[in-house]
Formats: sequence, structure tokens, C-alpha cells
Amino acid sequence: MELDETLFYLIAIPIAVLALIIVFTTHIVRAAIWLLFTLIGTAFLYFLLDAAFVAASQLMIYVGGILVLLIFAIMLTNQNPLNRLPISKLDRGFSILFVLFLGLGISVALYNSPVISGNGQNKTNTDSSSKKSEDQDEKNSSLSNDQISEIGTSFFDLNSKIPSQPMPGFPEGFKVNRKLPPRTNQGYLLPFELISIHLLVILIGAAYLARAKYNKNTENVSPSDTME
Amino acid sequence: MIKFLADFPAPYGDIVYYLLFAIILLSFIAFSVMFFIWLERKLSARMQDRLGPTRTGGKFGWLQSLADTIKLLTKEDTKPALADGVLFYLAPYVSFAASFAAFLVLPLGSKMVGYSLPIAAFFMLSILSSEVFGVILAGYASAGKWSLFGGIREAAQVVSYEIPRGICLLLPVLIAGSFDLTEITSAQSGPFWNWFIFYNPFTFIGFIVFFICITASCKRAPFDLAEAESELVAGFHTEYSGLRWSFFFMAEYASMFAMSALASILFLGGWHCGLIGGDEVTAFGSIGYLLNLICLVGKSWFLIAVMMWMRWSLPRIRIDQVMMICFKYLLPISCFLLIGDALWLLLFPTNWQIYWQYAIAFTMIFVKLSTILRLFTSSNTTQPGKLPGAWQNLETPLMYQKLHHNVKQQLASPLTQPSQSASD
Repeated sequence: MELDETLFYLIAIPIAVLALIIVFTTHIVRAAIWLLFTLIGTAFLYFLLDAAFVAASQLMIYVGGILVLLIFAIMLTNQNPLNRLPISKLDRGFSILFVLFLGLGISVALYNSPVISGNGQNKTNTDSSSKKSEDQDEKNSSLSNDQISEIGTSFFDLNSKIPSQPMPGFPEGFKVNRKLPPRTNQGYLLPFELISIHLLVILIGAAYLARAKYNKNTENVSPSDTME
Repeated sequence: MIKFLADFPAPYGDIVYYLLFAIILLSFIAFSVMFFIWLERKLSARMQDRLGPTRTGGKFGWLQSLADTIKLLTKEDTKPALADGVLFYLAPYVSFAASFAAFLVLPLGSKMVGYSLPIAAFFMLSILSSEVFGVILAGYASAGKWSLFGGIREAAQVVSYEIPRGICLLLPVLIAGSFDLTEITSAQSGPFWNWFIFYNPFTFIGFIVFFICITASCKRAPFDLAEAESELVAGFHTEYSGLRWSFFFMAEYASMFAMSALASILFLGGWHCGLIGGDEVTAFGSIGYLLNLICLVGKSWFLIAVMMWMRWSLPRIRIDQVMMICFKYLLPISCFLLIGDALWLLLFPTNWQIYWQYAIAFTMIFVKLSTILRLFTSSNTTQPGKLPGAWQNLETPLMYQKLHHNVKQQLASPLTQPSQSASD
């Protein structure tokens, strides 16, 4: 086993185990702490892939920023009923059903995908020598600057070019893009904006649900006051 | 040594090499922590007109830290009955691992770096900001009011001070055009007026703001609210004892050292001594590496000594004052400095740049030398209401004016008007 592979398993297995523990634990503070270790482990994985900036950003934003706020919020609102999350039998049954359904869907999708079933780029390299295939992998696994700028400009529909080289993450036979007309006049900006508006709606909904409940008998307290 | 390691089979040689490096780094940190503890005791004693440790290991108490270590190792490891066991035992290691990991990318000299990272400055900030988790965990898991207060204060403080600290980090990064600490240092090679602290007025103030921010994020006084001993017993580490407590101590001093080294790399020329007109390694050969190491460690130790000086001179401030200093003063100042630094780089004529550096560098040296001179020529006694030492003719700020004001209100007489205090 190569050193990189060993290191990958040394990092990936704890991440997976801790992610399962986060789901199964009923202790809310401990769940947040195990989330800390999964996030740090993900940063380690980025380091292993030589993506140091992404790794440091992961540490800065998720570990140093969001998770501190999360733990801060948990510690401030840590009342006894919230300390442990009770799970009813109905919840458990529903979640098991949902997980089975989702797992089945993902495994069917993976089984049909060209990467796993061998229809993709791996097939072209089977007859060539191992060194050649390594070179091929290296070429496929890193985006050149031109490709990155192509992605960025096509995001805003400033560019009608279809990526000339095979993209990493897409199998060789992936030709959906090539069937598109040369200028689509829409880009990917609209779906992106839709997703962000969706997130905003979720944020407002969460704030509405989590706001302090006011008593209807005391009519001089308006909901906008209690929001703060 | 490296030749011997090359005989190992492929991955194991690398593993042994990295482990060896980590052990050297760890023992260096532990050794310097012991030195800092001794230094802090001696400095604080001198500032309070005491002697400090005098017996263990000779006249200066050299071995006091070693004796403390043995005492800590043999102490009983206790845990409160209500504490959250796993988190309670985990917290010191989280705290120490974060501050130790920052030394991975910290260059201690040219080519003396564990892992040369192109974004080393950003990485150091991000990894040192996760040190706060150990404190929060300790505060929560101890199941005590004092510990919880300490942990929450620490979380609020460190997260807030990260913002001006990160913005001040960008000032030298803008000038050098790189996040790489080696490149930032090599941009400051040569005589001392090439250091980034003298580059323009914005970096000069930026260094002071950065230093205040790292003092706050290392939870040193006057920002040591997480362990305010007069209100919270010992804050987040109230319930810890023995070796686990010493891990918190090691983490604090290690992050002090890392932060001071980062500050001296960013603003004070890093491992360049600032006296010769070029790189030390090209000038002196292999002795230059040793000189680099001595310069960087010496600068960091000087900054740590300043931190200790601040700790034993200034009173602790309240938590609302801590937040006010960060958000009302340091954050707007650092944003202004960033914009000013960028505009300076854009608009200031390049041929005048070196004259500005001469001017501010020699002015600072003149100010410091004259201050030291006044310190030696001043009288030993201090007049009431006047400052001592180098500032002997200046009035005590605020206090004396208030006194005058009260006297004026009581007597309502024109004779007691403080005519010269307002001008000072």
C-alpha cells in the first residue's frame, strides 16, 4: 500500500466513523464536538490532495467560524430538555425507511454510472502500460487555468465554448455539453440565484420558527419586538 | 542522518524523518515554554520589586521550571463528579495540538521550515484560531459556573479578535504580494529600514494593532478574562490539575511564541538581522543559517517579553471593554489601514519610498534612544502627580486632571485652575 493511500484511509475512516457518531449520539454538545473532528479531518483530506488553500479556508470558515458560533449557541441555549435529544419510535422507523430508500437510490445510481461500471475513462487505459495511465490520470486530475476560466465565464454565459479537454469528474463518454447549441443565452446564473433565494427563504423560516413566542394576553408586545 | 534514513524501505524512511522533525519541534517548544515560565516569574518579580525564584538551581533559580514540571507530573489527576468525562479529558489535547500544528509551517530561518506552504500565513491564522475549542470544551465539560463563564468569554473574545488580526495580516501580504512566509521575509532582506513596519505609516500602526490582537487571542493580560483569577478562580481550567493543566499552560506559551514569530516575520524582518545589506546565508555561508535562527527566535522572545511587560503593567479590562476595543476601535482602524496601505502602494511614488523608510526608521531609533537616555538621567524620586522615569516631567494622565477638576469644583476658586494640565 502506498503512503498516500494509507494516509487517506487513516483520515477517511475516522471521518466516516465520527460522522456516524454525530448522527447516532443523543448528546447535543458532543455531537458538535465530533462535527469539529470531521471538519478538521476533511481539511486534512484537502491537504492530502495538495489543495492547501481550500484546506486552510475549511479550517478558517467551518472550524474557526461556523463551529465556534454553533457551540457558542448550544452553550448559551443549553437547557435541560435540549441537553439530550429524545428519539421516539416513530422517528426511528421513519428514519430507517428513509435511509434505506436513499441508500438504494444512491447505489443504483452508482451502479449505472460509467465510472463504476467501467464504461468511462478507466477502460481506455487498461491496455496501455501503467506509467502511461499514470500520466493520463495526472492530466485528467488537474484543471488547467484555461479550463477554470472557461467554467467561470460560462457561468455568466459570456462564453459559448465547450471544454475541449475531458474534465476531471466526468467520464470520457460524457457528451451532454456537446449537444448544446453554441450559445445558450442563459448560463448557470439563474439556477444559482434560485438556490440562493431558496436558502434565504429557509433562513427566514428558521428565524420565524426559532423566535421568542409572545403571549397573546399581553397585547402591547409586538412580534417584531420579540424577534430581537 | 539523511543517508542513513535513505536505506529504509520507501514510506518508512519518510515517516521516520517526519517523526524526528516533529519530536525536535516538540522538545524545542517544551524547552522554550520552561524558559518562558522562568522568565515570566523573574520579570514579574522585578516589576513588583521582588526577587522571584532564587534557590532552585543556583542564584537565579534556573531550575525552578524543572522542579515545577516534576511537581505537576506527580500531582493527582482529578475530575469533578458531574463533568462530561470524554470532553473533559479531550480538551487539553485539542488546545495543545492546535498551537503545536502552527509550528508546522512556521519558518525558523531560510529553508528551516517543516512544511513549506504557499499560504503559510493564512494557515497559521486558521489553525491558531481553532485553539479556542480546547478552552470552550474545558469550560463546558468541567460542569462548573466559573469554567463555563471562562469558556464563553474566551469564545467571544477570540472569535472577535480574529477579524482585525486577519485584516492586519493582509498589510504585509499586500506589500510582498504573497502569503508565503519565506517570500514575505525575503522581501524584507537588507538593512532594517526595509522591514515592513517602516514601509509606510499604515504598516507602522498595523503592527501595533496586530500586536494588540495577538495579545488578546493568546488570552494574555490585559485580555485574560477567560482565566480572570480575581473573579472566576482560574476560569476555564479551574477543575484541571497536574499534567492536563500543564497542557493548557504549554498551549498558551506555544501560541504566544508562534504568534510572536509570525508578527516578527510579517513586520520585523523575520530572520534578517537588519544590519547587513543582504541575505545572511549568501554573506556568511552556513553560519548564516544559525544567525537566521538566532535573529528570529530573539525577535520573538523580545515580543514575548513585551507581552509579559504589558501583563504586569496594565490592569485587566472588563468583557464589555474587550468587545468595545475590538469592534469600535481595532476593526475600523484595521479596515482604514488596509485601504490606506493599498492606496499607498498604488499612488505613492516609488522613488520617494526609500526616503520615507529612512525617515521613519531613524526617527523611531532617535525616539527610542532618547527615551533610554532620559531613563538613565532622570532622578530617582518621583514628584506627586508626575510620571516616573523617562517621562518624569509629564503629568500623570487623566488622574491628575480629575483631581484638579474635583478640587476646582469644591473650592470654586480661580486659583486652583489647572492651566498647564490641559495642554499636556
